[in-house]
Amino acid sequence: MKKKKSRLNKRTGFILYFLMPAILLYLIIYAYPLINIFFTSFCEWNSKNFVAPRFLGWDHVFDNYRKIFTVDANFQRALINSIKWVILTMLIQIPWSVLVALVLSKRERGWRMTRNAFVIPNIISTAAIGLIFLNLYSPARGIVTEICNKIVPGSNVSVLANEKWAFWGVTFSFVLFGGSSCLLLMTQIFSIDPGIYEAAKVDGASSLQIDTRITLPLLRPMIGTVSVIAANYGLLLYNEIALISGGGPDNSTYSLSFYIYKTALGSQKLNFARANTAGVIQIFLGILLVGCINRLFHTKDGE
Amino acid sequence: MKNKVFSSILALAMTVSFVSAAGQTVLAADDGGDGLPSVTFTHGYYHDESEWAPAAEMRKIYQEFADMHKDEFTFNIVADQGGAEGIYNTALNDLSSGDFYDIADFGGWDITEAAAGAGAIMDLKPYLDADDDLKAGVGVCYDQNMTADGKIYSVREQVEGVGFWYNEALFKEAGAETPDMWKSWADFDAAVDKLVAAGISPFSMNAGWPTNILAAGYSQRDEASREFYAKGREIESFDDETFRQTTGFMQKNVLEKIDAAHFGPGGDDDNQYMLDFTSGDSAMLFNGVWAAGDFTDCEAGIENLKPALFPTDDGKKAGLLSGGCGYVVSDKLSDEQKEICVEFIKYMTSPEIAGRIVENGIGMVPSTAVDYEAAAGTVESPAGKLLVEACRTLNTADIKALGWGNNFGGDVEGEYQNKYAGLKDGSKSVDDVIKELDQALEAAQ
Repeated sequence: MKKKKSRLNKRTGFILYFLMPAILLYLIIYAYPLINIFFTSFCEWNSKNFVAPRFLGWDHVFDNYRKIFTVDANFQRALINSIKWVILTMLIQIPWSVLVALVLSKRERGWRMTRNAFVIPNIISTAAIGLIFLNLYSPARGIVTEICNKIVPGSNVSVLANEKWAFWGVTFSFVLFGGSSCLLLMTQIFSIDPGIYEAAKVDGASSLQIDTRITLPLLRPMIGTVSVIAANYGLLLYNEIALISGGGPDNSTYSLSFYIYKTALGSQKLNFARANTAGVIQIFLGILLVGCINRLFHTKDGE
Repeated sequence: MKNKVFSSILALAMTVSFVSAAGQTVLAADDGGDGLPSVTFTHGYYHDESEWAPAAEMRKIYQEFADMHKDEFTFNIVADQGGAEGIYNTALNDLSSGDFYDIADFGGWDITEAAAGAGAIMDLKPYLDADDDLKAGVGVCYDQNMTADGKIYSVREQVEGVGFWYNEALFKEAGAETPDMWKSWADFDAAVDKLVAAGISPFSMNAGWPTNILAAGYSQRDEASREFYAKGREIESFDDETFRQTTGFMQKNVLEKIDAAHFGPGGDDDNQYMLDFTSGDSAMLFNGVWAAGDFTDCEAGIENLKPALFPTDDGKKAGLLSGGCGYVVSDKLSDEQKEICVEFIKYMTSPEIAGRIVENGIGMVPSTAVDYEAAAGTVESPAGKLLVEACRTLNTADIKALGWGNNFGGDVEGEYQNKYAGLKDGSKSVDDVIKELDQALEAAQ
């Protein structure tokens, strides 16, 4: 018995020895920055004390949190926008990707070409996509203004100069591009046992019934996975905003990520403490989001 | 055996290259290896001559200084491929680890507050006070860059000189009085109305830079407005009658006078307002003197384009001159090295170099010693002549105010320009703008 225990300890030590580099990397790359972000959110840290963050003191410990929720209109707008983008991604991108995956999985003529066409926007850099949309929305040379002028002569719509339209302008630059999600979903569909489909067909099930009663339920864990990926994309949105709207007009297209950048490095005040406060809230939102989606799709159970 | 020999040779080669590289590093950091004191200067003029000719001229100017003093000290010159923004970002990282450039040109990116807070940069004021030539060379930078506690951490060899440009042919076509004849802002309004009536867009704007320029220009209209504007970063509230009038003017007399096609979203990529002017599609351009460089062979015809100053309602003429952050020197250097840096700044702001900067169409200089009349005679290119003319015109301004961003700070500038789109489409009133700006001021504290 003693011999067995000692062998087990040896084995555990051996495994730990090999895990050590990964643990160290995790601590340095993930854990340390996270702890740093968390603690500095309770500090004063800006251009005046750039090299030495100062603890706010126990009487004012939540000052940064209080300020961003009470007086910082840019943060409040960024928070609302980010939540809206998460919801829109879940409501538009995921159903759209599932629908395309279901259609393509029928392997009708030209399905490969359609699949490739659907995936192309996801392999183009977001920088290029941003520039494409910037040109589409340009009031001087963009096609959107031209189409609007054809429908309503003299309307001269300038998408990025109007607070309400600019939000949708940014949204449509990413929300329909579900190529990666579609690929994952198709892989899952193709891995379903063909015998199940054959049995359903023998029983006289229609194509719609097969999709709704067999494919979709079996696809549920993967829908959960792509939902987590897509919702996180919506929550962390930055590139499209930086390239297309620059957060404007009137900061109406701020996201949490964009707010963090602008507050820390995009401002002469270099307010790292407040940016990190927003970072902490973004992390908690992300955890909450993953938890909710997992619960919704039971992806933890691997159903 | 073969493998062993190969491994030994490889190991030897690596050791030799490591030792020689380390030696080189030590050499560069120390003193150039010749016993002379050494200073490294970093700048953002990295562009190839074919891409941007002024960059090559600036590098030449720097090199001439290094060559001139090669027997006294080693002056290393490094071009940062990231430009002034790259230098700023590197400086932020360096500050965190307690380092700073020996001397760098920050090209308008203001590092001084963070660097001074960290005790990393030297106060140039004692040197400026001790040398009248140096003080004359830095011109407006002396007052503009002085901090509340009386220190000057940065000076520049160039200033952002801003008035506006107009297309004389379009004004004549519309039968409007040209800006050189304007006596007040009522003349501006009358000219704009005539241009609009003639189907000519009076100007092309965006939610940013050009609109800020006009707002700053209009803010110099009378004593009360100038007084409020001069408070700059000390302003505690925008709820002021003169500011209310400025914003009302921007809404009714400027933004509502142009269609959506002549109003862009702003941002670094939004240069449509420039293209509209150079193509002859708009009659006025609110931009700095350096815009002359884009007028060569333009569709509007360079001969039709003229520089102008802003009118005021009390018979004066106004221009915007902003120094901003330029040369910043590390406080960790030895006294000898600091002297070298000051010598370099003195060289860069000397009348001779200032003249070259103007004549080569690089920009406007703060130096009060430049003879623009003489410079006009030596310049040959039409764009260069126009630049000299624009600098000369700005120099004659009765009122020389800071630009919007330098006056109120980048954050307030950003917040204000965010409101232009709402003011234009009527979704925001002047009161809304003032309320939101005050909220932003409160949030920034």
